[in-house]
Amino acid sequence: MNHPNQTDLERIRQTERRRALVRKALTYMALALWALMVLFPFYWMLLTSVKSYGSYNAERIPALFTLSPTLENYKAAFTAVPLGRYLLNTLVFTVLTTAIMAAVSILAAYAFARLEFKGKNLVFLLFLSLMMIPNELVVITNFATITGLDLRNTFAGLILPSVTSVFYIYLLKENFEQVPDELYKAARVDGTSDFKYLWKVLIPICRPTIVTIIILKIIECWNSYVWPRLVTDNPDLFLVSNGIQEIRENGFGRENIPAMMAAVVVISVPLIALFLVFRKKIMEGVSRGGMKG
Amino acid sequence: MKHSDLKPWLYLLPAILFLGCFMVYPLIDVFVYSLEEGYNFASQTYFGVGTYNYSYVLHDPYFLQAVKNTLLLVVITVPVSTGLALLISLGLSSIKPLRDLFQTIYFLPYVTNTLAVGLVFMILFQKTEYTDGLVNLMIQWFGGPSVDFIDGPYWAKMTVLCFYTVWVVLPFKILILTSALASVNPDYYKAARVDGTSRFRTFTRITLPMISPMIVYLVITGFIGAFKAYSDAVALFGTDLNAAGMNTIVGYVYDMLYGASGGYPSYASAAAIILFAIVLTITCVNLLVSRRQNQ
Amino acid sequence: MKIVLEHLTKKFPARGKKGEEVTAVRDFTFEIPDGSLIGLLGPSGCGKSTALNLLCGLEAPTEGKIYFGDTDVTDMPPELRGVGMVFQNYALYPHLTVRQNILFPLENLKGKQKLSKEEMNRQAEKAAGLVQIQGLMDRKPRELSGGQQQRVAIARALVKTPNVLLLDEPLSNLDARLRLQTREEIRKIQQETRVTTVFVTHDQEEAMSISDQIVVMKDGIFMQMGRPQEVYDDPASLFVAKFLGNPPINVFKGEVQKETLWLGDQPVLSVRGVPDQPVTVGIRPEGFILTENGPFAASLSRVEVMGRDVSVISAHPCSENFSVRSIITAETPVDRDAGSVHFSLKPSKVFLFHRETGARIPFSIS
Repeated sequence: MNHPNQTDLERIRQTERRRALVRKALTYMALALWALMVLFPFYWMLLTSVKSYGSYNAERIPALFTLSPTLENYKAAFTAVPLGRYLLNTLVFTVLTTAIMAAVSILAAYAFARLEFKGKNLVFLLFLSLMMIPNELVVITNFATITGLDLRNTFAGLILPSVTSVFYIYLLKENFEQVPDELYKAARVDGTSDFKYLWKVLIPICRPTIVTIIILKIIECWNSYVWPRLVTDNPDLFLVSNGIQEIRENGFGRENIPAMMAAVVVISVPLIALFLVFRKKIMEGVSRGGMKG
Repeated sequence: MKHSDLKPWLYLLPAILFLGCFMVYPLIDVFVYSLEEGYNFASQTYFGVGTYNYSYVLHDPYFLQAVKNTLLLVVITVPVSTGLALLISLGLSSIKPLRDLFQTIYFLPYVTNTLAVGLVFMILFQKTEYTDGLVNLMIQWFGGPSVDFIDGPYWAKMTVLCFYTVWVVLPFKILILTSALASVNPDYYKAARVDGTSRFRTFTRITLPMISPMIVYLVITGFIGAFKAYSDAVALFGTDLNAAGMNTIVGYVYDMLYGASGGYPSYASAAAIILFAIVLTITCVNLLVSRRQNQ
Repeated sequence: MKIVLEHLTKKFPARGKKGEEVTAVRDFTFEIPDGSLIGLLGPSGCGKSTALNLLCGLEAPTEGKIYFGDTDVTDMPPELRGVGMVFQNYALYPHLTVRQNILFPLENLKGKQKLSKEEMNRQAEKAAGLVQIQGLMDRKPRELSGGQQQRVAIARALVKTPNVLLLDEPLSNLDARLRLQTREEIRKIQQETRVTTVFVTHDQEEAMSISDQIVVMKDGIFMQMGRPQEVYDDPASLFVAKFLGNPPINVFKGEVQKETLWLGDQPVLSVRGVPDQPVTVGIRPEGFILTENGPFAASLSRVEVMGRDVSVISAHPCSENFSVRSIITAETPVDRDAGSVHFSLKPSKVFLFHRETGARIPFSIS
């Protein structure tokens, strides 16, 4: 192998360095561009929400900033339309659904992970195969069931079909199984009951996963639209997604876009705040298999 | 049965009840519905059993429009979003400062309410008597003709729908690909450097094969997700998607079930089963192709 | 091709706010002769791998120069240096067959160096022949055993006929039996190709058994270089003495007074030319001779029979280890029931070190 001499090397290194610099600059520019694409809608909704109705409609060419921000739209969002009601409904729906989901999933996962019974593998296989069933297939009968039970326009009708998630049971079961057997045996030797072991040992140890699935479920609930739309036509029971659709179609009596944007901001803030607080957890949870919806 | 035999089932009972009522029973029932001809929701009666519902759905112009829309959406957004996510993830994994910030920003669409943010997209793209909207303004700066993306021509509406869909699905894909890239053992890159492998060759011969399982996963879930598109379209074009000509298959199912043209669970079931069949077929084909490539 | 290092230094910037700058390699100056097999030896985290990466060109030194032959390669990227590298986990591309893996480096060649398909295949076969894996060419790495993967990695490193072959912990992923066999093979391949080879290991036995010379380092500092036996027989510091040898050297606190080495109240050896001072004493296990009235007395703990020889385990008040281990031939009778045991010492197996610095204090045998 013949080595290049030092001046050649110097030249090679300089072009390399220049190329690396250009590459880095281009990378950052491209990344910043997409970040702008992502952030801009958020900026725009914030901006529009603080423009007054009059000034917004007077802008033939939309202004990229405003010098006279106003909060009147937020007032309108809470008074002219029942946004507070929608938020409260969503909160109740989210909390109840998530809580029931957590309880049901933990119990089932525990049975699969720790208890021995006949046909366990078969039942688990059946559970797993349910993961492939798309919501769209079962929603039709569920709609009929809920209507038949006279549960339309009730929280029960909203919550019951939204509770189950085979995937979370699966996730929890995997996590429970990672806890060493010895702990269970030691607890049995000490005379700890199964339920107490689950409550005092397993749940505290597996808290990270439980928190993850709870957060994922909260996101899912907060954004759910299709099912609530089917079973509620009484605005008193609308969740935020349906509420915003309602506002869009016949809220505020006229095309009041700033007020609409104020409502959008109010709806978006809780989840974004949740995300910023639990950023690591949420991203980790989602990458372990959370699909949107 | 002994007490201890019963206990596990007690733990499973709630899950089995919920799943049985709201997943297993409906799953069987939907096939029954789809075969019951002339089912009436109010009286719960039907004329006979057959495949008429399927043939009705397959001849319904709204359904065909919905299939066309959905297919277009799938064909455009899956490759675009996967490719874009790959580029962005590659960019992300090549930088150190600001990486966390970018990652956080890119993830934001995942945690937003699709309906709510869709409204923002609507006003950005919409053309009203008051204003042309920001996007049209920018098009005009570059000398293009303005067009109403929300109530205008089909291609324009499709463009926004695709754009919004990509915007919504990217966070998940970026997240998955970034962690896939990070999990490639750095020794492979070192070995490639010792051998003087060019950047391009390193990417095509090492990086890409190493992360290909994740890409396959993303393409498959992307197909499934795009086939089930609905709320993005509602967010942009309102609930009456048939009128806007922008309905999707899932939207058709819901409209058949409930809403302006609703009350026909049999047609809805038939449409849902057709959708499921399409998705299943495409997933299987995808799996087969990717498996063949791996061999 | 000989390798010359001149004041080679690598510092890593501090991590985090409180972190300190780490010097992984400090001021290395030595020469590796052409065609030799060098074992770079040290405990884990001592900077061996960094040193290897510097030689390879994966990392740029903070200071100092590296020469391959007469060429300054300090600023040269890896592919221009003509090095082959075998990674600790082999870094075989899992989606490529053995043949494709071996061909990979050749396919990167551009311009004048570009080879024809046939030539590439010929060279790949040759490299495969060298490590005897011709029969495995169309398998995927995951279908191979650890030892076979290792050979493929070596073949891939050798296929470009490099000037220098670098191996990072080449045996650490193999089980004990394969390790012995593989180290013989590495030695054989090296002797066949005569390529200057540097390998990194934390296992002193591995390094001693096949290296022409070993380089011992600790915390980024070059400790000693030499033929394995030389370094073993003449360690420059307490660290080297402790690091080499299995079973390890026995360490005592001692005192030199009037040219006599005292362990507690026992005058065990006369050491000429050493001024009076407290010292640390190292005595190799084979440096003990069982003698009825020997000056070194210890209380006998137990005797371990190993077949060829016998280990006498005893306790001595000055010992810095839990127990003192001495190895004597099996023929020597040991009274196991005696409470104590007496030894005389072989002066060549006794080393004196400065109590604080650990530097070797030479003495002449009277």
